[in-house]
Order: sequence, then C-alpha cells, then structure tokens
Amino acid sequence: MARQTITITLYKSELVYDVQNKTYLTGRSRQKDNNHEDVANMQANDDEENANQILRSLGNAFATLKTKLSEYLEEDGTSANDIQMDGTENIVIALKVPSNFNPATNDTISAALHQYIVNTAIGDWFTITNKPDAADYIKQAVINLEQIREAVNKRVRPQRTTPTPPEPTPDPEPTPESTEEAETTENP
Amino acid sequence: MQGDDSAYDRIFTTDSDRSMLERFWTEACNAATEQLKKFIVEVSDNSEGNTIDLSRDYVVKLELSSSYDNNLTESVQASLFSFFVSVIVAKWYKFTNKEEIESYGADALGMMNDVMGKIFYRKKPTRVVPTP
Repeated sequence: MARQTITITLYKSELVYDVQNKTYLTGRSRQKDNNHEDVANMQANDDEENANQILRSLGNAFATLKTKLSEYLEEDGTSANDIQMDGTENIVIALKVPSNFNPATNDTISAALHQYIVNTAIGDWFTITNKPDAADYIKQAVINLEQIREAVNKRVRPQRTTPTPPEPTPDPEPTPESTEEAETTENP
Repeated sequence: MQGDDSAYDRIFTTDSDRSMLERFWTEACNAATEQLKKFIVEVSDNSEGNTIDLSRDYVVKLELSSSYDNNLTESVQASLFSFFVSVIVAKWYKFTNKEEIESYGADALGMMNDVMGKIFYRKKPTRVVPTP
C-alpha cells in the first residue's frame, strides 16, 4: 500500500518564545542577593547576540532531528550550507510514514519535536550561561527523541475485511445434447 | 555628634573644600563608569580640571538590553544620584568623621547594587500567537 505523508509545522515564534520563557522563569527563580548579571545572562531575549545563539541552536537541533528521522524523510538536493536559520521562517517537516501509521500520534509527534528542539536549544544556552541546569535539558531532549521514535512507530491494528462469498450460481438447465453426451459417457 | 564641639566646623564643607570635593566627585564619576562600562556608549569627560566647574555634569549614554524596562530609568537616575552623594560623603568623612564612613560606604554600595539590579532587570517575554 502507498505510504502517506504527514506534514508538521513548527512555528519559529513558538519555539523562540518557549526558549525565552523557560530561560526567563529559570533566571527569575535563581535570583538571590546581588546576582543580577547572572540572572540576566540566563534570560535569553531578542538582543542580537542572544537571538543569534538561540537560532543557531534551533538550527542545530533541527539538523540532528533530521538525521534521527531520516528514514521518514524524503529530501533531494546535492548541496547544503551552514548559514544560520532565518528567524521568521517556520520549520516544516514532512514525514513519509507507512499506510498503517497511527494518525492519533500526530499531536504527540509535533509536541515532542517542539520539545526536543526547545530543550536542545536551552541545553546549549545554559551550557554558556547557567552550567548547572544545562545537563537537565540535554537529558530531557534525549527523552523527547525516544517519544518521537515511539510515536512515529505506532501502527493501526490491521482491520479484517470479512470476505463475502460469491453468490452460488444456479445449475444450468440440461440441454438435449448434454443429456446424450452424458448417456454416451456412462454406457460406452 | 553630641559632646563634640568641633564637629560642625570639622564636618561642614566650605568653599575652601571645593577642590577636594571636586576630586571626590571625579572619583565617584570614575567608580560609576567602572560599574557601567559594559553598557556605555558615550560618557562625559569628568577628568579632574584645574578649576572647579559646576556645569560639568556626569552624562552617560547606555546601551541596554531590548528587554530593559524603560519605566525604571527615572529610578536608575535617582539611585545613581544617591550613589554619588554617598560616595562623596564617605570620602569626605575619611578626613572629618571616620565613625560614619562605613555607613555611607555601605549606602553607596547599596545604591550601585540598586542601579545594577534595575539595569539587568529583564521584562518577561511576550508571546505572539502565530496564525497558521
């Protein structure tokens, strides 16, 4: 049976906001005494150097994801480059899945893809700005990858289609020739 | 200062102390610049002159984060003002009123900490709901 394609769109603005919000909340909860600068450094925002780092990390995470999901991706092209991903263009992933793929996991896949990319980006960000928390996010990204694998490999149960036996064809009316033939065969 | 008859004469500043106060002012400017250097785009020249020039204000232009809260600017300015006062008084007290140096020194530190807290404060990010 033909494979089907599921298209998942990850909105860049949602990814960036999630990274900013998580790092903002982390910074706020780590506030103590006079560590203003440390807290500010944890909180990723739209400043050029922050945004560039986050976009670079999002791009790296997406590239890793493509490797992990390569068996479900069909892309052609013979060239690539390392130009940082654009801040506005969304991430679209078209997964070629078997015909018996379970579409009930579509939401799980998109949520896990989002989480994987966000956690990887925060892991990268905290490696620079808040080392003690970085490992947690990197671990979480590995778990997200497992969730993606599990969801992509879910299949629907095969459905048995009860065959309808063909209508019995009525015996043909005996013709005079066939009667003679039958008599000849019986009494040679 | 009760029981110290010379306190007033000793502590009160007069015109003859101006050149020394000018020196303290310059030192306070330098201290502020040192703390704010990370953000400075432009800063006034407050090097010590041969004459006392009261028109030479401390003017500093800072480049702050895109998520800096502009509502805090007045407060930053007020804290910086208090920082300058505390630094200058603390330095003046080195010569005139040693018992209170610590308190003014702590005030100056507190004020600068207050300034830095506001400068480093980040507004929460805002979510723009995408239209599919």
